[in-house]
Parts: sequence; structure tokens; C-alpha cells
Amino acid sequence: MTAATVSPPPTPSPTTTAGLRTAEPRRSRIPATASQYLLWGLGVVVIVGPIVPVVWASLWSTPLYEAGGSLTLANYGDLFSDPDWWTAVRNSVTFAVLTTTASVVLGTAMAVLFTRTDLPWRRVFGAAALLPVAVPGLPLILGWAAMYAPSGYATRWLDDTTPLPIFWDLYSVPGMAMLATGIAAPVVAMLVRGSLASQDSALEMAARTAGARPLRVLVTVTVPLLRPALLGSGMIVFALSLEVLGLPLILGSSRNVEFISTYLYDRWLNEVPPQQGLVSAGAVVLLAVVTLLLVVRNRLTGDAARFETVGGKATTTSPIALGAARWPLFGVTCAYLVVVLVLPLVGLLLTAFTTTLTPFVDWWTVLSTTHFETVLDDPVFSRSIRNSLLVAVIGAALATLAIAALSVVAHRSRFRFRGSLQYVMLYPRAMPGLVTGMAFFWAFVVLDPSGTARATLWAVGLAFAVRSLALGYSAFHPALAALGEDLDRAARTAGADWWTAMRTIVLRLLRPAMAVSFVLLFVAMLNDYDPAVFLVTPGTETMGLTMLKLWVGGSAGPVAALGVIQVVVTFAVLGAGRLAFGVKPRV
Amino acid sequence: MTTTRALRLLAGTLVLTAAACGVGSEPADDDAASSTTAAGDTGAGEAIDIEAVAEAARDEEKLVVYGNPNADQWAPVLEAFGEEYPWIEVETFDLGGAEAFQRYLSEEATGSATADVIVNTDGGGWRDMVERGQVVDYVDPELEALPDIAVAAPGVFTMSVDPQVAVFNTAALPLDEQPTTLAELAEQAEELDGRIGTVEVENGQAGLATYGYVDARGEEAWEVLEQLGPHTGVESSGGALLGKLTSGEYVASFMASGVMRTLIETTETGDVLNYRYFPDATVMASRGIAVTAGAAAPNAAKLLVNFVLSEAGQTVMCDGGFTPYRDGVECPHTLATMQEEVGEENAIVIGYPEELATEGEAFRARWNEAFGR
Repeated sequence: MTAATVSPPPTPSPTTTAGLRTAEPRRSRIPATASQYLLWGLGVVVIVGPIVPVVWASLWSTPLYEAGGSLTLANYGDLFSDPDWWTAVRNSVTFAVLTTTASVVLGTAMAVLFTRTDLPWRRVFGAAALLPVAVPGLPLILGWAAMYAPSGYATRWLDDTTPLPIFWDLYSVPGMAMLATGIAAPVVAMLVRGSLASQDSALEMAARTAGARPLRVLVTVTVPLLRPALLGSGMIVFALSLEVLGLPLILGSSRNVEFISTYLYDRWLNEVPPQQGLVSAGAVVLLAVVTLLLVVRNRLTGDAARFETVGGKATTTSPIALGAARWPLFGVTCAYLVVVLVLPLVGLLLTAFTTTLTPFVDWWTVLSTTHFETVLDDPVFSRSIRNSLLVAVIGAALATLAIAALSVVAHRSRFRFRGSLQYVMLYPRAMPGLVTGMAFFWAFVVLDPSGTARATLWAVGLAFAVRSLALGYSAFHPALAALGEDLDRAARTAGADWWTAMRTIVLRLLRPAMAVSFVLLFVAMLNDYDPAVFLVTPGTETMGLTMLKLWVGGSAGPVAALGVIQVVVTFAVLGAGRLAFGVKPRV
Repeated sequence: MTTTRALRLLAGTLVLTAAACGVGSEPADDDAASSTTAAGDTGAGEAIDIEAVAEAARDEEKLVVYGNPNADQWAPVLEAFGEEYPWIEVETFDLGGAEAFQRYLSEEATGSATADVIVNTDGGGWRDMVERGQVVDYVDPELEALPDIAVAAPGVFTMSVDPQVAVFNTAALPLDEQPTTLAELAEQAEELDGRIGTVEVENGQAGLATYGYVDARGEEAWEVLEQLGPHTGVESSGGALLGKLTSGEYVASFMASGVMRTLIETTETGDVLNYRYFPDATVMASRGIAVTAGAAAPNAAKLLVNFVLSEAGQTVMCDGGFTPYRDGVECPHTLATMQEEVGEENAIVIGYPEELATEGEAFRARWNEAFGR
């Protein structure tokens, strides 16, 4: 590959003139194709390859690191005959259905309110409502728990000072779904907003002229046009809800509420000997279901042409007048933001900066930085911060380069299998984090029985990078598509070989898009934790996993301190990215 | 498209073939086998020479400990250990119960870096480790000065005997309203419905202590537990229980780790919480410490074990909230003070009896049924 990239243009051959005419000089085809094959092969093996060992482990009678064993279906038999598995499936599905329904309703309402109405401060709200997507998951859950758990601050305050009944229980499946909705609704809002922006408001105005009231316009024109966006975002939220780990592990344990993820987690980590075959079988089932969901989603939303609005160039959208409902809705929006964002962040800060957070002691009397000292003094905690930063910086940089290289092969070359590459890059999105981690665990066990590779941070970094690949690609691809191919054709006709054209023209022009991809990957990899659950070895712990473990052990203080660090770094990087490259949070 | 699919399949097969080369190879447990043969039966063999071990430890990399004490508990112990052996770098991981054993076994089997020393209170798990030959059995010179309970299982030494205590939220349940025995708490259970907490028996320490309780008190104990069960919330760890007691979600608890005593006595937590011993259910669970067969730093590991058994070690462990059992150790909470407090016959010390392996499962099943899990 390097040879093709750095070597000077090859000496002219008899075909040069033909090459100039067809804009595809044959002389450079051979080295470029070879490197494209290499990239394609590497991409497929690293990204999709690890699924092979996890499937194999699920079909093998002994763990792959033990000698012997034979092909068997017993793991699947054990799984499907275990009543606990089915309870876990039922809980997970109930949770996912509740979260999806609530997020789609709430997310659509937010998107419409903030883009199509004359709600006061709608721009500010629009930006603020998306913030829960950017806040790392674990700290946000901790903040919610500090406020809304049965003895949380907010719960206590409501119970003691108002006659309002406490209608929620954060430890139950609906309670956890409520929390998840707070995080997932902005995801829906984001996707729906994109779709709303491309709609022509002339249709709405036509309905208004025909005498329809604003609400009727909303229900009969605006929302039906959103169907693909709703379906698509609903499927994504559903798939994400199925794989959620931190939430049930921390909040569900005292009620003995098990989800698919915690079922797998417990059977692997908390049993001697671990039921790794059974867990691998469960992981394969989960992977199959999530993959199927995303395939169905692609099929359903694929026919998007039906939902194009037909008209000339979209004119300036005119907002729907809310009339008397304007200020009440403003109040409701404020209250919503306080509940899902402000209070949880306050809860996180309070937990981090007090020695013991309890309603029985005034918090300002126990303010301290003890938890931060604990975190910085303890070698394991401070190392996990360092590891996370390393993984985020180096991993995001390398992943961005990989995405750029694979993308130009996928979209700018004549490479035979280029079409498959975009699926390869998008597929990790369908892989639950736990499954990604397990897949890499088995891949390392099989390919490197000495265990040396798995004991390095590269192992964790690789799993994190693969998991975040789709995110980076989906941010990078639109910019690549928007860059006219004439530019690289011009370079090719001027004599550059394919790689030179890509390197000097396409990738150079796409530097801002690469920066955006880097920022998004940095944040995702800094905060990711579930792929590390099965991969971690002493010395390769990352911040998210350390927090998860600590919290399961019950130490909320240091977890909150780590969480505050995580939130601060995340926002600093996102903020800088936004100022410099216009980065927006994505899912 | 079909060619793409065919090629993907081909790539998959390639991975499989490459992978297959690795599967037949034996895991690296040759060193494990050789190191387990150190001494046959504890007590019969000769004690190791600590000075020679200390010299050998100079060539070793850092010492990795998987233990159920958290970083705060370890701090005073490791500081003193570091003064004694400044050339040993120790790293502790807060891993308890089955997870510590599972992590060790997986890592040992896959050849990855792993623990040199495990500290755990899960008796059944320890029995299993011994049976798998994953514990190095040898004689420590300090054993001479220690009571019989110092050896909990072959190669597994008792580091401390930590009592289970009852912790209350004083602000929500004033001292004069608190029950003084577990049986009394069981009688109040209906009234305190949902506000009593405990730790699950899958947790090493609570599980062993509860086993010791029903082992000593028989059916009477089961009656009390069955009365408590329907009204009690169950947490997976002592830390989670502590958090919910502090926030007032629970007002009373039982089978809470004795480590909470130090927290209550020395920090602001004491403004909200208090603890007491239930004389009818004070079980002192042996916290085991052992050198693993897969240890990369076996000598440093033996030094740590030796240190926690020594008088200096037992004394400094007091500051970390452990309960030392060595005679003559100055500490507000020792085995001797416990025997004084609840009566010698009531301070039940439980090690790792072999029956744990056979009866453990039935015991856990009955407990889980009583607590509706």
C-alpha cells in the first residue's frame, strides 16, 4: 500500500495516451488494486471476522482456550430451556417497547415544537434538548439515580413538601424505561428534525388555506410525512434498548430484574466455572435479532421516494402559530429540560462533591473533593483515566484514517467489491457492545493463545474502534459524497495514480470531515464501556468500565467524580469541535 | 452482489482456518502444576524461609491482587507493607466473590496477566479453587503464633474474621426503636416492610456468614430468615446496601459487612448511621488470602500473605476496618473484643468447611426462595 502511495508516477508505458483519454490510466491500476484488496481484506477480517469465533464458541462444547471439545447445539438447548433467559428476554422486550414508544412520541413532539412552531426560545431549546445525547451514559444514570431513586433528592422533596404521589419507581422496568426515554427521545428528535427540515412547508400552508387548524395540519400533513423517519429512529432506539447494560445492572439488581445483557454478564462473570458457551449462544441470538431489526429497518425506510414532497425549491418555512398554548408549552418545555437534564447533572455534581449525599444531612455541610482525591490517588483509577484518553486519542485518529481509506475505496474506486465495504463499515452499529467485546475476546483466544495481545490496550482500543466505526463513517460519508468526482478525475488525467489522487485531492479536501469524524469517535471511545467487559485484563481498564465496576460495588462517590471528569472532557472536546469544525452530536 | 457474498464467506473461512490452528494448543498451565507441589499438607511441611523469599521477590514484576477489600481498606495495609518491602509494587483490584475467581481462571487459562494473590470470603469458591489445584499450598512461619482458624482451607489463610453487623439509619429509626436481635428485627419486619435491606447469598461474605448462621442455629435460623424474607430488599454488594442505608431507602439491615463500622466511627456517615451486633446472628466470616498457582510474582505474593498474618500486619489491618484475630493485637475490634461483646459462644467463626461444596447450592436455593428471588 505504501509503495503505491509514495512512489513517483511510474515510467510512461505505451498505454499512456489511452489512459489520458479514458481518465483511467491503466498503468496505475495494478498497484492500486492490490492495495485496495489488502484494505478490503483487512477491513472485512477485523470488522466482521470476529463474529466467526463467537459463533464457533457458541457451537463448541468446551471453551475455545481448552483443548478438545466438539461441535454441539447443547449451548443453544441450555439457553432456550432456561426459564431465566426467557424472563430476561421478556424484561428486555418490555423495556425496549416502552422506551421506543415514549421516545418516538416525545422526540417527535420536540422536533415539531422546536422547528415548526413559534414557541419562544425554540432555538435554545432545540440545542439544549439534544444535550442528553452528548452526556456520557453512566454519569447521567448516576445523576438520575441521585435524584429520582426511591430515596433520591427529588423524590424525597416531592414526597415531603407536595401532595403529589410518587408514581414512578426507578428500579422497575417502567422506571428504567423512563430514564432511557430521557436519553433516547433526543435521538429521535435529531433524526426527525432532519426529515422535517427537508419538508416543504408549502404543503402545510396549503392545508391552512383550505381551512385546517394548525393542529389538524400537524396531524394530517406534517406527521404522516415523517413516517420513514419515525420508523427508522424507532427501530434504532429499539435495537439500542435491547443491548443496554449499565442501567439494569445498577438499577435493576435490587429488584432482581434481569435483562438480556445482565443475564449474559452474570453467567459469564459471576459464575465458576463461567458458562461461556451458553453466553456466546445468547450473544449470537441477540446479534441475530438486532441485525434482523436493522435489515428490516433498511427495507422499510428504503422506499423513501414515496415520502418526497413534490414542489419547487422549498421556500422559507413559516412557523405554525401556537396561539394561547405558546407560553404554557414554553413552561412544559422548561420543566422537561429541568427534569431530564438539569436535575440529573446537579445530582451528579452533588454526589461527586460531597462526602455522603443523604437527605438527612445538609449537602453544603459535607462538601469536599475527597472523591476526586481518591480517584487521582488510586493507581487503578488514575490509570483507567489515562487509558481512556489514550484509547480515545490514538484509537479515534487511527479509526478516522481507516474510515477515510475504506471510504475512498468504497466510493471513489473501481474496485470490484467496493459495494460491500459500506455494509462492512455500517454493520458494527448492529453489534451490541457486549457482543463486540465477546467476539474480540474469542478472536484473541483463538489467534493468540499466549494472551499477550489481549493484555495490551490495543485489544480494548480495537474493539472500541470497530464499535464506533459506523458513527465515524456516517459523519464522513456525506462530505465525501458531496465532493464532485471531477476533482479526482482531473488529478488522474494530469498523471496522478489513484492513491496520489485520493491522498492529494480528495482526502486533503476532506480534512474538516475527518476532523468531525475524529471528534465524534473520540467522544464515543472515551465513554464506551461494554465491549471492555469481557476483554479487560489487569492494566487495560478504561474509565467507563472502572465506573461500572465501582458502582456495582456501591461506591457512588468516586464514580460520580470519574463521571464529572468524563463529562468535562466530553464537552470540552465537543465544544472545541463545534467551534472549529461545526461538529454536531450524532447517534 | 453474489460475488461479494462469496468473498465474504471465503474471508470468514480464512479466519476460521487461521483460528483452528490455535485451538488444539494446550493452555499454559505447566508452571501451575509445578508450583502447586510446594508443600503437601499444611502443618506437616516445613515453613518457608521469608528472607530467601524476600530476596527472590526482588526480581519479580509488580504484585497483582484481586481482593474484596476496596481501595480505602487496603490503603493502610499496603502503606505498611511498602515500608517493609519498598521494592515491591502492589496493585489491588476491587474484585470479590465468584468474579475474582472467574477472572483469575479465565486469565490463567488464556495465558493473560492475572492475579498473584486473591483475597476473598467466598468459601465455596475457595474450595473449588483448591480442588482445581489453583492455590499454592505451603506453610507460613507465622502460623505457629496463630490459632487453628488461620488455615481456612489447604493453602488458604485467614486474613481476618469479619463479623456481619446490623446497620441502621439513626435519623429514620432512632436508637431506642431499633431491635437488638435478628429475631426481634424479624418481628418488626412487617411494620418496616421494604425498608430492611440485606446482601444476597451469592455475595461471598454475606453468603458464607449466612451459611454459618444457619449452620450454627439450624431451623430456628431459617424461621427467622423466612419471616424477614418477604419484607427485605436484597442488594448485590455491601457498598450498594450502604448507599441505600445512607439515603434512607433502607432504615435497617442485617448481614452487613463489619467493614462499615470504621466508616461509621470515623466519617460523617456516622451522623446518619449506627451499627450493632445481633447476639443471635453474629457470624465472623474468614476472609481468605492465598497465592495463586498462576502467579507471576509468587515470592512477592508470599510476602504479602506473611505480612498480613504477622503481628505488624494484623495491627495495621485494624485501621482498614478489618477484624484481626491474632492474640495480643491492639485494636478496638478483634476476635477477642467480639467474644467479650456478644459472648464467646455467640461469636461464631466460620471457615471453609468441605460441606460448602456439597450443601452450598441447596442452602442458596432455600434462602432465595425465602427472599422471593
